[in-house]
Amino acid sequence: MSAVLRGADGTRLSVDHGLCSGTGHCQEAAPGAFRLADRRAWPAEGLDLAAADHAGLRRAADACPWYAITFTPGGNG
Amino acid sequence: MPEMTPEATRGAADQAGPAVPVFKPYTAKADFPWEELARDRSRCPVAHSEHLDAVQISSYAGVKEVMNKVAEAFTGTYSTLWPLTEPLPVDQQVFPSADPPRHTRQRKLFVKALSASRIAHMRPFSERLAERLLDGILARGTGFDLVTAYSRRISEGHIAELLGLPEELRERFMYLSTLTELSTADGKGMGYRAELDEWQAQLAGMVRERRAAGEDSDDLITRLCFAEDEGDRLSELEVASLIRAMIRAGNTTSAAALTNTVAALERHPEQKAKYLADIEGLTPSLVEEGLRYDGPALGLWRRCARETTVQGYPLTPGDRVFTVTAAANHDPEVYDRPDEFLIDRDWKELPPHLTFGWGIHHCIGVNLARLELETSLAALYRRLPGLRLEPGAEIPQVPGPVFRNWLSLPMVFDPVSTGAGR
Repeated sequence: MSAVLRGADGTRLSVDHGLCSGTGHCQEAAPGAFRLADRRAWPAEGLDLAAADHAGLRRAADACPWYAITFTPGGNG
Repeated sequence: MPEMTPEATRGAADQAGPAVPVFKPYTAKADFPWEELARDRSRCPVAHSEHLDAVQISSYAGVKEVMNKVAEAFTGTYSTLWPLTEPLPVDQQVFPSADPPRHTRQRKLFVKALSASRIAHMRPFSERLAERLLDGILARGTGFDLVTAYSRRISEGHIAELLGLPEELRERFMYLSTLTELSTADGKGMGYRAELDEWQAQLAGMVRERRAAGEDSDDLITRLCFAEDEGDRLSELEVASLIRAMIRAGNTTSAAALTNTVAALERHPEQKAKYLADIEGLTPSLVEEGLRYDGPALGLWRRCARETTVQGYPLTPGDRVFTVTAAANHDPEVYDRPDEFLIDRDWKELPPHLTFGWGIHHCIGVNLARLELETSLAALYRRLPGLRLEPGAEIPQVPGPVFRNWLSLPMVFDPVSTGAGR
């Protein structure tokens, strides 16, 4: 019921599909990091979590009006 | 109703001074306000309106900027439906009229029950409800009022199913929901105060009874009654306010969206013909276009709580703002041919309309609203042959600056021989 992506450094990004309603707030907060399909958000294909913009992913987690996104930085955060 | 008042014409002619909004929803609410909203949006997208006694914001970028800055610079506690001069009592600060962290705590109680996946399970119920209502309409002749016989029954049925509302209360709660809508007309919300207070007290009594009976059922009201926040239960009045807000929002907004979409479709025969030729394929984009073109909200109030700017226009604490969603949704910067009703726009490629809002207060009922609209529109146009507006019928618009809603929509259809309805 969740779309989960793990980075090489232990970074983890998940979208809880029991909550997500596909409104796209995450796409606006973290451009390029999410895609929308079937009224749900998913981590974008080929997203390299270790190298991604962590501030943007944190913004996406904070901006989600459905509280569906969890972002946990790995390694050195 | 005239689309342009004499004052509006004078205001528009006054090119010398700063542009003054021509939108006058209290005294001259136009049935079709797109032209006057276009004037304000192009000449003064963020400007003080004497008529509204507020800063009127009518561009897509401006309305969205307010929605994005709600948590940092605005408050809903002075109500978003009436421009109050004092904050609402704390127990009545719910959803749009609550600020974080209170708002976050409340919203977290509802997101799961209203999520896309949970609401998707309601589709069979939703389809059966539409079919049952249409069976009744077909059995009663060849004419009906869409609002009372269909739109309101659709929204009332869904919200009652979701909340677990007893059958005998549904009609009264729908009536009280429409009173709330009408009470926004004078900008003070005073018109129906006694009845609406009584409703609040009745719901608080219901909360008391359910708590006394124990947690013996899984419906949303029972779960709210027993929800805890850091070990404390919510107050009876806060739960009552939350239930009332769910019922009101669920009842009036989706019913209006359905009625407005049918009214728009009936006024655009070439779009209607296109829809009838591919009901299955075009329903989702018809729903989005209906919500964009004539959604249930004309605009909403907020109050500035911290110094900020909107499209560069400075706001200070205490300033009232009125965001005109209907104007934002017709912004030519965002939508081609914005004042045209085009049911096959490609919504995958377009920015979302702002009918459901944006940001922390994004409409929590978005999935339920879309489901209701999809099933009820498709069933209506599949089942009733030759459906059309009753010629010459009066079609009144709800008064006041906040809502867009046709209060009745008399319709007729061709006779169907018995047993050939399906």
